Amino acid sequence: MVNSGLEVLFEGRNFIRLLAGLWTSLRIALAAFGLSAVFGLPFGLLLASKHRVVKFILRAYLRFIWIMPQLVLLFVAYFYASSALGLNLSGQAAAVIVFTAWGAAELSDLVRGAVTSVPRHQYESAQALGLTANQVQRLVVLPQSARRLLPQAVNLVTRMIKTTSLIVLIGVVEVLKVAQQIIDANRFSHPDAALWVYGTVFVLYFAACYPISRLAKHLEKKWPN
Amino acid sequence: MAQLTSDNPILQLEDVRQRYPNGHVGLDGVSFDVATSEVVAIVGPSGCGKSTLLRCVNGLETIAGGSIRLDGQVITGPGVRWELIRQRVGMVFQEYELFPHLDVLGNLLLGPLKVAKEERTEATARALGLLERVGLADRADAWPRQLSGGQKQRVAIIRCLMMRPELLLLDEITASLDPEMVREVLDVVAGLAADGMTMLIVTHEMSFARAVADRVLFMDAGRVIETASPERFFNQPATDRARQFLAMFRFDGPPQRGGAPS
Repeated sequence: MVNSGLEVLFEGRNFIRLLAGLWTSLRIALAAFGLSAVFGLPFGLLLASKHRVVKFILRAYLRFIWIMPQLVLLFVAYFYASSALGLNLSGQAAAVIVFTAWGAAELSDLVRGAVTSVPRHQYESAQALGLTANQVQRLVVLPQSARRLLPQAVNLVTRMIKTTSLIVLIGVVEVLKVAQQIIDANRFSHPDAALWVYGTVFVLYFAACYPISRLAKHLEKKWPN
Repeated sequence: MAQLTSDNPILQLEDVRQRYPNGHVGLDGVSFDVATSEVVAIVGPSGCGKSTLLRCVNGLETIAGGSIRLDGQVITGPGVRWELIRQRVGMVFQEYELFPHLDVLGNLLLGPLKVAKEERTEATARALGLLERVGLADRADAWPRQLSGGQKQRVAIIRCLMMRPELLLLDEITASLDPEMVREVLDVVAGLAADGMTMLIVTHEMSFARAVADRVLFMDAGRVIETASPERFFNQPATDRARQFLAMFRFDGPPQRGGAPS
């Protein structure tokens, strides 16, 4: 009898478990992205503004996040926060916090880029029509910025989803960890399961990210700039 | 000083001075009046302050001294609500600055709906009428990126007209256009002049200035050097600097080599 690794996928609840693992990854990435938007959008507008002190602080924050590998941030949040601050964060909570810190930084820089890339004469011709400063922002600058921001923001979502594969290292059982568990549990009965299980993980990541990037493409076409 | 003061000036500039943050003097004491329905062409070498002048009238630059009056009311100084002044003073720029996220009609309606709080149906009817007038009746639903430079600039002009301005400022509006598109834009401006629109036109199109302007202002180094009728300015400029400037637009063939200086 040939013990194909493919069988492993459909043994017991294995496939459901993989899907649940994927859901854990997605949930963390999407929650973090939502929170990133809450912080990143205003941060980005401030970065594009003229508030010098605020900009200095935000830039320092950006630098810090860019320099730190996400894994280090995860360790700091998960291990250090509990020992030094007495916070007993779950792995998932730590992951959401770290991904939010990272996403807010990335998104704020994207927002800054999108807003500052609107040419000066767009502001001036809007002003020349008699629009107030607020209306110029709301009716001319932000709609154009949003169209420029969107593809990059969506790209950030997919990067966040992919980067959730790191959180297995702070003990969160997400899709990759489930895959490892399945492979380990079937190591003797199905030695070639790894190929099939990891292949499935590949397909699952693809299935999660591809529609999102399709959506970005679609919106890019719908909102020509 | 050749001061052509008219009975009913709509715009009065008195000793207007402007200085850029880097210290460069933009305007060094400019005074003149513009009468209702008058078309004034402002010409001069690059950096002479002619665009700065228009930008000051529309509050895009802050003046450092002097005063600007619109219809008798001082519009410079602290506390000016520029968004209100700008509804009365339209400005068209060199860049084709249509809003890329709005279609042609959306561009035309933004000011009337959001600033003037006009009725949509009425504003739309007016917009379509103006599009018809500049030969773009079928492009109301087009996106700016689908238009040629000349078409965009015509839309930009009527976008200003939608606000029913008392005064129109045109800042080198044909300077970035391909030569074959200059004419269609200038035709629109000539039509406005014929209708009695008051305009301040900064241009490098000398033949156009000559044809459409009631008066020519020649500027250099932030000052008005010469003010004259187009006939007089282009035929017998009074100053050396104006003569030198106009000579740049004449091309009499390559310089003579080894020939005797005449």
